[in-house]
Amino acid sequence: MKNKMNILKLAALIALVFTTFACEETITTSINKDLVVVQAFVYSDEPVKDISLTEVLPLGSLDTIAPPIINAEVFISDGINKYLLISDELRAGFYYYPNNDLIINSGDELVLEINYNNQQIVAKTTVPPKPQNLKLDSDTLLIPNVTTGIKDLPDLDYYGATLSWDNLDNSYYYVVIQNVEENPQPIDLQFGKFATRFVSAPSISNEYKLSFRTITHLGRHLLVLYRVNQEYVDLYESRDQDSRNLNEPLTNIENGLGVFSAFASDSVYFNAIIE
Amino acid sequence: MLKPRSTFSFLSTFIKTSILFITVFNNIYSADKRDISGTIRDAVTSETLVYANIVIEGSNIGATANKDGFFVIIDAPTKEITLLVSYMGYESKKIIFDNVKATNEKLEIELKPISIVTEDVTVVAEKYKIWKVADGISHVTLSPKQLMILPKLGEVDIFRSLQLLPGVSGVSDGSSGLFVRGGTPDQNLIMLDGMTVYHVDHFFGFFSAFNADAIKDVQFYKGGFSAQYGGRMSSVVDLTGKTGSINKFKMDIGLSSLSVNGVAEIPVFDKGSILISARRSYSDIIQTDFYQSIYGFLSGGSDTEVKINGKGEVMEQSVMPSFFFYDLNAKFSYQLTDSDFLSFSFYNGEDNLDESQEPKTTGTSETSTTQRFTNDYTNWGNIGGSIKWSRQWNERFYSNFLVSATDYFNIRNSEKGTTTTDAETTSGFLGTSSKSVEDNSVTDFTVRLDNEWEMNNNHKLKFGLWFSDVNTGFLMTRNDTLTILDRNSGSSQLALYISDKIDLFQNLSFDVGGRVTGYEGTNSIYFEPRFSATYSLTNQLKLKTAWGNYYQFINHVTNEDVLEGTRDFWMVADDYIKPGFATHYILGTEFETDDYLFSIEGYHKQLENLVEFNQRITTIKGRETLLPTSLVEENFFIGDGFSRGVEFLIQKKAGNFNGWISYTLGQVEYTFPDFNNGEAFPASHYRRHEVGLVASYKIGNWNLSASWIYATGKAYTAPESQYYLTLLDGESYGYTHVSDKNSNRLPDYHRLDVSATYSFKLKSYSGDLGLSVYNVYDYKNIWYREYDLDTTPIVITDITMLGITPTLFVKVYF
Repeated sequence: MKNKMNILKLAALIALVFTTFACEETITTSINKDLVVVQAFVYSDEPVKDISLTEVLPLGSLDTIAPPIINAEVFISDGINKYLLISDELRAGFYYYPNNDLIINSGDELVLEINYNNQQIVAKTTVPPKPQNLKLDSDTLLIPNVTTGIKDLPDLDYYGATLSWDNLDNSYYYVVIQNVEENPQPIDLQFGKFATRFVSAPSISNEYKLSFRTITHLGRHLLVLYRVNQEYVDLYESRDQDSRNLNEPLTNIENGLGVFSAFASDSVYFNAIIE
Repeated sequence: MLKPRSTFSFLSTFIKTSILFITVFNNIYSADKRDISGTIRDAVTSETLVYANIVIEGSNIGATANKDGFFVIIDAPTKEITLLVSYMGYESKKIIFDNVKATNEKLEIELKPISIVTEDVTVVAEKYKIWKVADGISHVTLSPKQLMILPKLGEVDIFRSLQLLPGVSGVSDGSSGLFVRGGTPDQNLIMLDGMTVYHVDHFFGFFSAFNADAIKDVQFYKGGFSAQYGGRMSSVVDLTGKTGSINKFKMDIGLSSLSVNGVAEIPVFDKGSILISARRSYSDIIQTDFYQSIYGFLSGGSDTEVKINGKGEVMEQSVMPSFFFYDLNAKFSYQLTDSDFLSFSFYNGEDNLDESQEPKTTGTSETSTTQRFTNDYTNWGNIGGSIKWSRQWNERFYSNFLVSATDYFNIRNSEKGTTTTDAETTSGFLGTSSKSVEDNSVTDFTVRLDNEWEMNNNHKLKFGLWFSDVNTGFLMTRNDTLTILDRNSGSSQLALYISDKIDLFQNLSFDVGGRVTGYEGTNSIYFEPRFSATYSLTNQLKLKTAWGNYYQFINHVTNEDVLEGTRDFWMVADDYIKPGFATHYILGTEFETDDYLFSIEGYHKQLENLVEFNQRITTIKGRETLLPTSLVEENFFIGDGFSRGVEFLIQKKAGNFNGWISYTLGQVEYTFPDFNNGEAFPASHYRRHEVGLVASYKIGNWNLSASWIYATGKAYTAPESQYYLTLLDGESYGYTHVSDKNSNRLPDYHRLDVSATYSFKLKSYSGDLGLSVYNVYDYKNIWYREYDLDTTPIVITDITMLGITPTLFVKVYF
């Protein structure tokens, strides 16, 4: 009798375990829907209008455009006041400040605060000082007249004009060259499809040589030199992701992805004409 | 550089001085009481029984046999006494001994092994104990003989039996070895006859690297171990191999549906023996035929397509790898004189694991078919040998001197890619392909001298020295041309230790000691004080505690791989990757009756210099952004952490129905400044809850048993989403976002195993036969998860453990 009881005990234990745990669990893969991708840039002496928020995409998604976030609460504070940004109805996912009382000055310590789906995303940056002693050694750029095509352009990497500035503390800078003509004429017909705006990579330098790679159209150009903060440099230098290691770019966004950075600039104009 | 010749010279002087001192000391302190000494052996094979217990009945005076089965009871009263001798798996024995008239002749005590086929089931007290707690804290003694009754995959397995104990993770999930109290397997010191073993299991941790038929004793220290053991931060498994029968030739042969094994014991010259044991699995062959068809029938298909949020498309599948392993143990032992014993041991074991997947069609057109393939082969193993000389200088002083050499290797070759086959010509060509090779090796040369001195009833001194020269190599390449890491390093270390087991009064004992290690790799000296104590409040109730510092000079570095499962490799410590360090704090209580043991034990381990190799993390040092492809040294990340928990145990020790229930509540957390923004994260092997249930019932010649283990799912890091960033130059970059470190959890692990064993005895041989069913309800426990992001849809593959696996087994003893 005792033996039978012991066998029954063992069998009951096995049955209990079997019925309780035998069911398989469905494997599910979920994403963190609250993760916000921030691409926020502010410029000294310019209105705040380049704050972009998007969601992440599901793993394996074939979409290349991430869903914009249009209903977040976004603030910028300068340590004294806190300014509420407004969702741009014309550019989904972008936020801007509509009034004139927010002035971005060099030296300002800015905090970006985003409240979305019961979480807070924060980022900080400091507006760098303006570039000093910006000079372009000529306000007229002479482009060689080559009728046989771009392949005959001599010294393609240097048009003979150099932009220079002071960089005593080895800061990072980048250059934007924008053709401001209403109907810009390409230097060569083959350049017709090229963009009329070029942005250089950030670098520790105190000069930039204008070349055919960056000047593709004739006419009046605006050349802007931006001083860059470290967070943008970090992002830029870590921008490539290895498909096996899955290293991600550095971010200064707390509880989010992307970058919040401030820039200060100075500018000059020049004219590109055929010799 | 520590030179072997100078080390040997130092050893020789050290031994001679010690003997002189001890001999003089013993003569000064000899009293009118008399020591009782002798050897305890197996009555059938004359195999010595290490750590067998002998006590004077009605007193606390007793002794534990040493590694050669020799014991000495210090200062026994000179009168007629009754000695009670016991050892797990053997019938206890009472001996009436007249210590008044006894001469200096040593006792030769023989114990009969417990025969499961005995007709009288009420004779002995330790009939069905599989393991028992020892006197010291966190110390367990395991009887390989008794493991036969537990559910198994065709054969007895020591490490899977240890995994059923509280504080030991029973869900090793493909990682080598034991996870003891939140420690990783590399933090365990595993020794076989004094030889350090680096890879201690076969396939998924299902089979330990040790043939249980060749092992006679297992001492397992879950933490707080004394100064005689060093070089590891977590636990110690000290295995003593059999020496073999010196009386007659013996042979065991075992066969199951997954493996075959055999042991031969050959007497040599009346005082020696040769023991040879071998095993090989053949599951790789069977899986292609009979086993695979059963598995496929029971599991019912393996591919599932899932849509996520209606937008992402993911294909999920599960894959079970095929494998085979073998191991070979050989040992020659000889009793040179009454006091000298010599042995030579050899070990060789190897695993082959094939995680390749069948090519899957990912695209078809009128003109061609594209398939994606995965080839993944891993081959690893140990080969090693040792020479040991033991000497009983006198009744109270014992030494053993050991020289050993071990070579470990681990090579993994994997390749993923696509092939496209032309529909018309059927010729194919290779499309994209990604290859990787990881090659890790360890060589270890060790010289050890261990001494035990029974000073008196209150002091048992252990002291010795330990010299090791260890070299590691690790090569990791990508696509045949890119070398990710190529690192060869080596270092020597010399350690001195001393510990004193002090018995104060009748109910309080301490073990106090320390270890000093000079390590060449860092040119530093490391001190490791150790302390443990046991206090008996009553005959049944004990309090135990331990504290100690533990250094580790060789690490199994975690190599994170989010897509294909994290792997590890061995590397010696140096100035950059400093020795690992842990401090143990342990406190526990035990209440023990004749039939039951109740135990609660809490532990906390503070961990430093944890190492991980990670190619995913971008760091900033100063003003410089360091990418994962930067300097190799920068890809090693150092952190610290802690492990803590409480273990509960109820054990029914004896009787026809016995077993135990264990529950461990634990936490293991790491902090690496460069991971997770410096925030703490759970270790990947951390499982908050672990439950073990083992039940065994004997009825006649049958033994029925069941074991069930449950654990919280393993933590892992996974790719979880995608995002895009557009830089100021207008270029847009897409990224796969990876979750926070170990922020995901696999499904909980649980498994039920059952076994029925029938023992029989015929005229000239006996044996066991039976049926074991592993994973009775065929739950697909996941080993790890793989992600292939290079296909559309992406593929998530769950690499699973064995499903339901019935195995028939038979073992015959000649």
